[in-house]
Amino acid sequence: MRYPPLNPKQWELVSFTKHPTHDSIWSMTRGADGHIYVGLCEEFTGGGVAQLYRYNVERHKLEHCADLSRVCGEPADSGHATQGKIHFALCAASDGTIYGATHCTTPPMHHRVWSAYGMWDDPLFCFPGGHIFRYDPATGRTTDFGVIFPHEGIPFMVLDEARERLYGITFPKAHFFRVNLAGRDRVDYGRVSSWYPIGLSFDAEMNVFFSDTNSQLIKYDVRADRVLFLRQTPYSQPWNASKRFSWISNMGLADDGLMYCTHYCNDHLLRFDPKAATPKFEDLGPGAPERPSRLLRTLIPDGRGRVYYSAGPRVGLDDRAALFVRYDIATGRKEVLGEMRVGDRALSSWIGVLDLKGNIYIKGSGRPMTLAIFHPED
Amino acid sequence: MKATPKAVHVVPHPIPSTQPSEPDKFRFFYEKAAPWVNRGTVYGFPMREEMNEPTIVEGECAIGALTALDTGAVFGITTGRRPHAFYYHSSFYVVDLGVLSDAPAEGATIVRTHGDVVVGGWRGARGGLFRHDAAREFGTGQEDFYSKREPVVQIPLPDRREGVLALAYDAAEEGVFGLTTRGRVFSLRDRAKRPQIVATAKDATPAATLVRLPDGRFLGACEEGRLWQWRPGDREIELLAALAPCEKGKRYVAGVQTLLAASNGLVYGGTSTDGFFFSFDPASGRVVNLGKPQRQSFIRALTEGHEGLIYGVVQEPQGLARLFTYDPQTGGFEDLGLLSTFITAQWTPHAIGAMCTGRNGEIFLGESDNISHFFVYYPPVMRRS
Repeated sequence: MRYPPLNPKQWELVSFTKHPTHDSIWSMTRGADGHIYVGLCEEFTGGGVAQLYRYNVERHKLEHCADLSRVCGEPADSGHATQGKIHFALCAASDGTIYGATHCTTPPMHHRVWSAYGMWDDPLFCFPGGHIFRYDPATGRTTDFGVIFPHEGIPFMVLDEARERLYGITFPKAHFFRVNLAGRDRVDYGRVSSWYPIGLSFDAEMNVFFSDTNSQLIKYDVRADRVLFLRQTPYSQPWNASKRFSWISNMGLADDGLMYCTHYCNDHLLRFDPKAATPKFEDLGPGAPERPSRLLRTLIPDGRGRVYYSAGPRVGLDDRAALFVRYDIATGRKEVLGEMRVGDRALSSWIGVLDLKGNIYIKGSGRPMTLAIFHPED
Repeated sequence: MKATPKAVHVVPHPIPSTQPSEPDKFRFFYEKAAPWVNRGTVYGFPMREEMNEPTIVEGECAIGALTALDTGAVFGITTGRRPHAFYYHSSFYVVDLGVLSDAPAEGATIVRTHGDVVVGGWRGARGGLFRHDAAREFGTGQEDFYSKREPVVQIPLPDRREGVLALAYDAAEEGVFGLTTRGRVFSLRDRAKRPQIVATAKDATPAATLVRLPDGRFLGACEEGRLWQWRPGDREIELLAALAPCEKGKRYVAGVQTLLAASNGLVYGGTSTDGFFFSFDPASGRVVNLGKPQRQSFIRALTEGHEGLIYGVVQEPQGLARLFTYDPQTGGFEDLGLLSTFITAQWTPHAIGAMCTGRNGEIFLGESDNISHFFVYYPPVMRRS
């Protein structure tokens, strides 16, 4: 089934013109000031360095906040793999500051390939390690708390402000850890997965949920201070019995108290009750029932009884763009809003975030990279 | 914000590197940047029996020791919160033989003795020793699940405060000889119910490795990388002049991580500090530093392949385990790379704690991490010339 493109009047694309070679966005958060903070990454150009940006929702423009090579004291031409990414690792604090972590896989300058495993401890070409940093919008200053695990990136980080903790995951070793808000008092809970978990969320009690590479649900129990391997997995196709290399790829707590999820290897919308001692997944069926998809991403509970997500096209089977879908929690209705195409640009984004007016921000496309903004009420 | 850093070139003379054109990038990465073992084939298995609920759970599954039997089964011991005895067979994958102790274990050792009987030991908060007749534990892949098993028989240690560092079997003496964490040598005859203390290490602190030499001597190592020998009947071990290699100035922290008695009559060893690979000639007492297979310290395990290569794993505590070979004929090392597998598990082990060689020349490897797997490496089939 073919759907029309999204209403162009509801979408706008904002270009990162000052960093035209940057190629991806993996992290966004809404700050306490209401603005949207974005980690602009440069994965595919050797020597690329991540940039912290703010989309000023009042001035409707992008504002550069920090260059992570300067923050970390690691210049682009250091010879090492660079601080090229801020992955799923921007966290907004109530005082307005933004915590973040850097991540690897960008090659050294003049290199076009790089392996985190092969170059793990190479003295010349290794990644020195992901930094945790804090940006203060009031002063424009960024504080570097240094490398947390030598050679490891920090692809995921979340903030428990009440406990003054940051929880994170390392790459390539996939260790779950926590540190305090100065990046100290590190507690390493050990390896939790094959590769790093790629979907992670707090529940209302501030337990942390994520999955391993085999779709198995994992919970960090904050009261017990323990990682629990719950041995619960969601729907998978009958032919994917092993579920290996099949993460839960997005998690988000919606206003019904349930955790909504998407999967790396099928197109079903999923949810579970995080309050259950052993949560059972509920399969809500294909994300776009009229058009089978490869997978769902961009999961965004809007706090108003709805969950947005994208339904990606099947690779090699069609050249259509992903669909943008809105799920109504009360009715269970899945409303396809249209193909995620703005002009000649097809959009796909792993993550997205809401501003205080309910506008949705996702990764755009192209070079210069763009920030795509959806105004659902227009 | 910090001041803008000046460009600091850590590579004083830029190293020429080939770089791919965009269309060739994937192939280029596979051939020139991928670090995975691809000479031969690697399979990996979760620490669970096929079709059964996992019982060797996270935190209890780090593999500390392995030994292979002629049945095709491989027996081992895990370390962690609670040690388990287990075996691997290609029909069932990893079968839990039960919890050995409710106290945490830090290290383990296991040997094949007479027939299909294995003897294992562990150390940690409380150490222990067991014997198990594994005659029934193999499979045909048919309806042979849940065959009757012989029990894992716990054997009391000479002293409850001790653990077991290392074991070696002596067919001539018809018994196992072992080292305790208090530096004592014990014997356990094939059908004996209790071990006997037979010697002490005097003031030396033995390392967790022990091999039997063809002439009946036993060889071990202790602090500063010093080798020692012991003959059945002696009351004390004999410190040798032989020292395992280390970098100048590191003798006081030098150590031997593993020893292997090879079929060519030499003993090969790997050091902890610096990760040197060396040979010891039992006839002359001469140690030769054969070099470093990789830049990391800690050669964690060695085993001899059927083709005569020595296989080893090098991995320092915060490092990534790499498989290497040493060819006694050429004297050359080859770094085979990092293990990685999709079948049956999708997994890359970061830590490898044990190795042994199977009856068909397979190299079995045990992961030693919070979540661990059992790996089988099949070396390549050589072409007939």
